[in-house]
Amino acid sequence: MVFSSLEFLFFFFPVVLLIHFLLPGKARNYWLLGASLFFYYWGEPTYFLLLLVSILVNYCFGLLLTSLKNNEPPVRKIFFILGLILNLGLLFTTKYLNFLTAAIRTWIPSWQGVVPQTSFVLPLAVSFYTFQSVSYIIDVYRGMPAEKNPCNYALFITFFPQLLQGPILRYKDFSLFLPDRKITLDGFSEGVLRFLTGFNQKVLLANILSEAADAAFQARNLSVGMAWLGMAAYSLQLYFDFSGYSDMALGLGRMFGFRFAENFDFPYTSKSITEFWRRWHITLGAWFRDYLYFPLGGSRVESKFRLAFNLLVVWMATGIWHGADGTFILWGLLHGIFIVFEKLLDLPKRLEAKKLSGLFYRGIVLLTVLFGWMLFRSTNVTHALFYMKSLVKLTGNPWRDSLFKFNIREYWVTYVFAVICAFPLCRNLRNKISAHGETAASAVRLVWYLIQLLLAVVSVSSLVMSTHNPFLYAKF
Amino acid sequence: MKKKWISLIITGSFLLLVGWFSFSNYPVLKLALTAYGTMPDSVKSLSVRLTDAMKSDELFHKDELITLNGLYGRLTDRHLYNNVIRMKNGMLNYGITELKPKAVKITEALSDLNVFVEEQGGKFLYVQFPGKYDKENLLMPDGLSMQIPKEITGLLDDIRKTGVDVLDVQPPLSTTVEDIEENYYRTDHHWKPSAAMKGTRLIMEHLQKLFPEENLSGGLFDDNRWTIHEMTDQFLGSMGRRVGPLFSGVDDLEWLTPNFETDLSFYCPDPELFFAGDYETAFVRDIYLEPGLNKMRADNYFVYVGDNYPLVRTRNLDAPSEKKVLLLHDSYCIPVITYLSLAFREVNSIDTRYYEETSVKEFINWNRPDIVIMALSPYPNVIDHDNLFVFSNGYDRFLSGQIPVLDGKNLELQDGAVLLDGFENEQVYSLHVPHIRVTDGNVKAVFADLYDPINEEIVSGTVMEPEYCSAYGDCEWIFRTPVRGSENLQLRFRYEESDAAVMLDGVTLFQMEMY
Repeated sequence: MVFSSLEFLFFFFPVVLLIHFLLPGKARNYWLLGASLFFYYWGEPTYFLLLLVSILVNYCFGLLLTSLKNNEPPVRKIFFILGLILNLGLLFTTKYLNFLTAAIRTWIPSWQGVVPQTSFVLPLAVSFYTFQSVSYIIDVYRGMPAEKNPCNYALFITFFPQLLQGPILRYKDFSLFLPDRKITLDGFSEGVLRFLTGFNQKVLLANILSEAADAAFQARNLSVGMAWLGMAAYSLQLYFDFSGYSDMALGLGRMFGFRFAENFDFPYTSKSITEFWRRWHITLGAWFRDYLYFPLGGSRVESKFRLAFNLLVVWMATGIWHGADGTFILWGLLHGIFIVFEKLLDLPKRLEAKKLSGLFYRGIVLLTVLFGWMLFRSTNVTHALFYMKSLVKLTGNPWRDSLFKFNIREYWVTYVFAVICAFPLCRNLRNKISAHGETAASAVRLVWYLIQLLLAVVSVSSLVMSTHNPFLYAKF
Repeated sequence: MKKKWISLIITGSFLLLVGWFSFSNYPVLKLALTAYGTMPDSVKSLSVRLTDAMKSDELFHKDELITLNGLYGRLTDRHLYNNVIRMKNGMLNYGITELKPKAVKITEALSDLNVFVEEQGGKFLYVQFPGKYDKENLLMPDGLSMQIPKEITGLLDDIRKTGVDVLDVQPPLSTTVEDIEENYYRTDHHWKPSAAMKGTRLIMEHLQKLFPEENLSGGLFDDNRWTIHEMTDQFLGSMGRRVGPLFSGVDDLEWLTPNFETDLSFYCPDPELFFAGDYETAFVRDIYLEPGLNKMRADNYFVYVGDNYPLVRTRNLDAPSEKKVLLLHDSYCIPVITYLSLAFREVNSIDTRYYEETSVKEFINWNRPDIVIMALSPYPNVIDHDNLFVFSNGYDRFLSGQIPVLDGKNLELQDGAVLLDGFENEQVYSLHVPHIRVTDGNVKAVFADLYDPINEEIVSGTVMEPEYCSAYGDCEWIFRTPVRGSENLQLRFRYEESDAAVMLDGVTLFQMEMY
């Protein structure tokens, strides 16, 4: 079940919301847990038990680590490492083992008899809930008291607004809302607005842009124009799909009284790759920063070589987290190299005063990001190479073809709105008008809501007719 | 206005809207829970059922949502929307521009059928109806083109090489943009009945060359002998229903009626339908002419005949030709069936996509038509629809001899009559009724049923028109009994007119020997 589906909008969500408000305080958490488990089971009945086992194991590890806090540090460390191994082992087995066994069998044919080809199916949301579990284990090891109520811990892992695609939560932030949370009229309405905005982005922008992107990435012959258009379309599709989902998650959370961390902040306005990762999938970047980069020493290391090494490790890991294929590793490496480059040359700061150079570098950043998404979307390295060559006319391809003409003609209105929405133009305009006083602010808020509501009805109409409604990050 | 009031409006209106839609979609939930007569036995089963139920017509305000969606498509200048192409002149077409490879070899199938029909003493003609695309592909939006014209031209050449008589009706009806605009509905893939009339004239001209000794149509299809009726904004075609009326407008519904007197019958065995009288009574379905009809749900193209039925039969005692015609067709032929019925004494029309009672070859062997015409639209049917060209089911059974079961029985049909109780399983029988006498009242049709009294259902049946039987000296019905349970079946007769009396004279029933 996805948020942008009719089943969710008209059956699951209203029922969960209604009963949540009818129940007294503490019972609400149990209700949300039950609903969240049902939500996961709906989409993943096969590996539902795996999720429950993961919750139970990590809950027990948390208690164990807390009970061993002051006694026998080596024993505590052993259990901590075991906890990490179990979680990362689960992720590795379900997500990467197939790739590894295939690679070994290809590169070392003589080992084919020894190394069987595995065929694990990736459980839904395993990357997200495993990372949340790991963050919990690490935080408890570092001194955070473990949660004694298993249902509270289970709710942290499974809470349906963020279960499938994040944002990746930290337990210390989530737990603030467990004992007692106030759902105010203002908060609920903020949640509604946020949800509707994300819903519309997903259905009216991401879903439509996916048609152009798919056409480009599935084409066997690609003109230069179509290659660039497809790359741009995918970049916008990915952004609106993921940030749209995040907005829906944050909106839903707010409606139930929770405040989650922001996950996107107009990333295509970034002046550097470093800044890009403070605006794109913010919670993932923060996770790697806190649980990998800082333990490696972060930027407080003596040698620049060590700094570069730390950064590259983090970005390789980020790439690998997204998928077990060479294209994801290359993507991670690309971003890592740029960040190393920026860190070593202190680039964002040095360009602050230089308008032209800053603008030029901004262009480089945007191109790099788009190019990275091309790697991300390509089915494999060979395909990525083909696409790259198509971008620069190295395949003997024409400048434009009928596919390009069609996609420009067909989706131009969507492209225009997508570009407008990818930059904070509407937000800035709303803020500017709101600065004129409370009446202006209220009027802007109401108008914005009415626009989103009208678009939401159009989005629902699209869902009724559409059969093309996949969420991209759900495969992670 | 204070922030709190705005928050209240937002919260209240959102909850009301969601609640209203949820509550109103209770029939969808009910459908999901009760589909197949049982509750879902797992969450997965519920998930599948709910997803399917959401696609059903039970969805609250589905038509309005589709209409709104179509308006959005129009406002965002879309030309390929929900698998429908809005061509440069605003007309709608199929959204498929790439074709799948064919599994069935059409040319071989048609060649084989041609030989078979000739062996049975008939003539076979393949007619290629036009498609909704101009020859130069000028109407398609930039970047889109249709492969169909090239595929069809190549196919027709291949068919001709096998010796099959081919009539290509495409050129005069779909060469230029003006042809398309004149001959096709805006929002539907079908041609207009006036275009079908042009196609029928071409067929009749061709048949006249094959049978020069007869005056096949006698000027029946001259322009001045027909009236074209139009009902404004009455028709939203199949493609229009996918995108709503605001995407590309609505059509005026067109139908033709003759200016001369007619008297014929229309019979469909499944569902059982019988109409007898003038052309309008037999063929025009008034339900599609009702002004308040929901255009999103009704397919007004079927103003003629009513639907795509597997088999229909028309009989016309006033027809200039005494030939029997078998028409193998798709929905493009719906108006053509009605036109041809005026020219030939009997026209049987089989839609090979749906007809399953016998194979086409068996039907030809049993019915012995003088002319067999296969007439199809090019897309999707010729290019993509494999089972249209399956004329034999591999277990064909052809008539070779007959064993009398009942000979020369006279039956009085007041309140129905049973001719025979009990049959053998999986056998073919032939019923002959030389003469039907209406001794009281006015009876247009006598129904002959193979009836199952235990389950109280009609297994198969036919209609015998007293005037027709008398004129041609014989009414024949060849039928096959089912695989099991035939010992319980009855062959019975009935008619609908009360206070009427009917006698069947000299009824004969044979059990057929087959090879």
